[in-house]
Amino acid sequence: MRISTQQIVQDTILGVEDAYSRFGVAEKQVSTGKRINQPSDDPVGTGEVLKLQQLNSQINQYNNIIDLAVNFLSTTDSALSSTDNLLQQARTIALQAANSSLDDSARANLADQIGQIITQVISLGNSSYEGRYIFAGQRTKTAPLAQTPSGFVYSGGSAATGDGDISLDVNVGESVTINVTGDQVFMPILNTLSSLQNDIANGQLSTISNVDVANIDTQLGNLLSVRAGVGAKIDMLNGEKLRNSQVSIGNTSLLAQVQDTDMAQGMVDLQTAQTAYQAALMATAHAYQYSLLDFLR
Amino acid sequence: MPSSFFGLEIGYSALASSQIALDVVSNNVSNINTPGYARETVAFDETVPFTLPGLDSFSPGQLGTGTTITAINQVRDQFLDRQILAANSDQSAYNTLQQVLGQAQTAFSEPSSSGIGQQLTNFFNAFSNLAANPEDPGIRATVVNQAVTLTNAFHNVSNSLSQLLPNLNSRIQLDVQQINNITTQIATLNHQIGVSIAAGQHPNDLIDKRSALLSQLSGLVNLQIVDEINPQTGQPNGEIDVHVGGFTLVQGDTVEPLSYTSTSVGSANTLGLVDSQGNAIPLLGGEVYGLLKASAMVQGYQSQLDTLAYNLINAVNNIHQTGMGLDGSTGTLFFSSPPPPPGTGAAASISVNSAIIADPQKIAAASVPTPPNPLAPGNGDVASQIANLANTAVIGGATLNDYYNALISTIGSDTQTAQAQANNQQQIVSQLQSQQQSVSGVNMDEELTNMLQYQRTYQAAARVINMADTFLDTIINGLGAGSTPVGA
Repeated sequence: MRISTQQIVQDTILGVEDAYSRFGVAEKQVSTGKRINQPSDDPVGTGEVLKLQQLNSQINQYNNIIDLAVNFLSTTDSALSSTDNLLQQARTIALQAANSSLDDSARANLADQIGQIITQVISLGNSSYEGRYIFAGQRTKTAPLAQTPSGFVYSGGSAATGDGDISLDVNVGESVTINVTGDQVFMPILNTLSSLQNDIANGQLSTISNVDVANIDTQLGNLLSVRAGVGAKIDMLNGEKLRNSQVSIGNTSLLAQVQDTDMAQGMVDLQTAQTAYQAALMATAHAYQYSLLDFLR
Repeated sequence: MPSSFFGLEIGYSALASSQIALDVVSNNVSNINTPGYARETVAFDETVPFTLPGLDSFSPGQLGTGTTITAINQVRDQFLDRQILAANSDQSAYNTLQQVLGQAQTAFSEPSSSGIGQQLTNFFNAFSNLAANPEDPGIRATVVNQAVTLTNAFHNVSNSLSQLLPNLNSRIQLDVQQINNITTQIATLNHQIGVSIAAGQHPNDLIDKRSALLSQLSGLVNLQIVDEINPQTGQPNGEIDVHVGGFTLVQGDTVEPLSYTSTSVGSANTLGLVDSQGNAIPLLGGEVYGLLKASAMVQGYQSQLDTLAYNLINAVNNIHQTGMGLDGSTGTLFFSSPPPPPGTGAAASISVNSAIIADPQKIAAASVPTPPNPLAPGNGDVASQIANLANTAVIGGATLNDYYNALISTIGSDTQTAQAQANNQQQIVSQLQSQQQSVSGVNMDEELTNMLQYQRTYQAAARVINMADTFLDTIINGLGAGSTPVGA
């Protein structure tokens, strides 16, 4: 085939340009570490990358919510645990008070102690976590428990008023109630303690031994089951977080497969491209070495 | 017997012909770098021999009388040339498409953490935090910040896309001017070539020029070229007619100018090519076609982005309006109202309600309490619903993120296709040009060899004249009385 002089020029230029652009692509993949630097590099892959990144971001968010929920529940549990201790103390005092050998001033003393326990229980019932009252249902900015001359008042949200549950989404379509309302746990306890205090003050020994102690036991049983529920939720949430983390790791691994440059392959490609470029340059240098002019006299 | 000076004439004809041949070689060598130049060859032919046959011939016949150059031909494959024009149009279109789509793709800056996809997810995450902690002013402030960042991301992409369009339009306008420029020149050349061919000459340089102009024109629009035929001889008269999509641009010496119309769709102007009567001209190739197609595709992306923004605004607002802010306000919009359906311009104008920016307490995280309940600060029902929009089918059957991801995939795919087509077409054009060069290109060594040949011919012819001169000298000075001896 007949070749014109301009053709050789065109071919060498195209060859060098082509080798250089392939070198550029290989270099970019190695230096950014990413196989996909823009959607056109791999349109389907880009869709996957976006989806995986968004999924992981969402999983991360759910894990943050789980952390918050677990902390909230732990704070609840420790308040309930302290309440348990106080109730145990009250039970001991009740048994003491049921002893007929005590005199009035001793019994008045015991009644005062019950009074102090009541104050402490109210304080526990008004526990807060990061500025929110944890036993007040959704009315988190108002202290739920108060003692008035006419009795104990619970002003938090409750199941009856429909604003008792604080439910958080810990996963897609999965919501968990993270709180316990004061009316379920503390109001019965306070009423029991209040009755006990009255009975001690009034010397109602048989009521104390037959009714009040039994009531305290009932409340202790209730507390135990509520705490068991809280504990179970904490376990469940921790398990959920672990599963979420595993899914996230799986996604990250998939992300790396789709998006990242295989470094070993990338370095080899880079070397190959560089060699090809050098070869193209060398061919260009050789292309114009000889012509007929060198041989004419 | 022929004249004594007969030999001189033969020698001279060789000299003259060799000189012209050398001039042609010289022209080829000079134009070795001229783009679109087709090499020229000389056609040697014998001159009319002597004598004419007749009953009274008196010498052996016929005697050759030397050589002449009958034509300076251009070596061109016209079929190949026309093929290249078509391939050129396609390449131009794909290159333009690739370039513009590449710019559109860059506007989205994906995949990255600053792209709209990630910002949408961050936005929903902020609402998830709000649902868990509706009373916290810090978290409310974060929701506002995240929302503003999201709207800024929409603005950036939308603006980048819409800035592309006026550029494309002005390029189309410039191209139309250039087309009209070129066709005028072609018509002029047509006339000159026609005259020259009618006079029996080969207007090689003019044909080269016209060829170069056609090449330029084919880069702008796809052409159909028809040779005009001389009705008396049935042969091409050298002039060509140029058509575009059925519309005649050039007919012999006359030119029809092209024009463009501008139609407004929403905020964008779309240009189209029309003839002088205003009829639309369909295009299939060339830069103008590429620009028109790219413009349509970019407008398509813009409209999909608007759909995304529009649906986001409405979905969030619809839920948000059912809730109550910490300050007891209800029915508040989260985003300012979008443009009317179908939401053209929503991406450029999406913004957080200024009342909310001024007072994040107005963000309605809670559902409206049923009387007689007071507002419960810990209620995050509405915020939770908004956060769940991330997993809800909002546009058709797709979530907002899915819709966005599909848009990015489409843009990537379109750009990749344009790149592949451009590369492919580059190969095709390269190959065709290679073949064209093989036929028409100048080869330095070949020309130098020819030069040697004609040079030697010239030298030999000079020798022949020398010899004829010697004969004459002998005849004139050496014969008869008073003659000078030969060699004296």
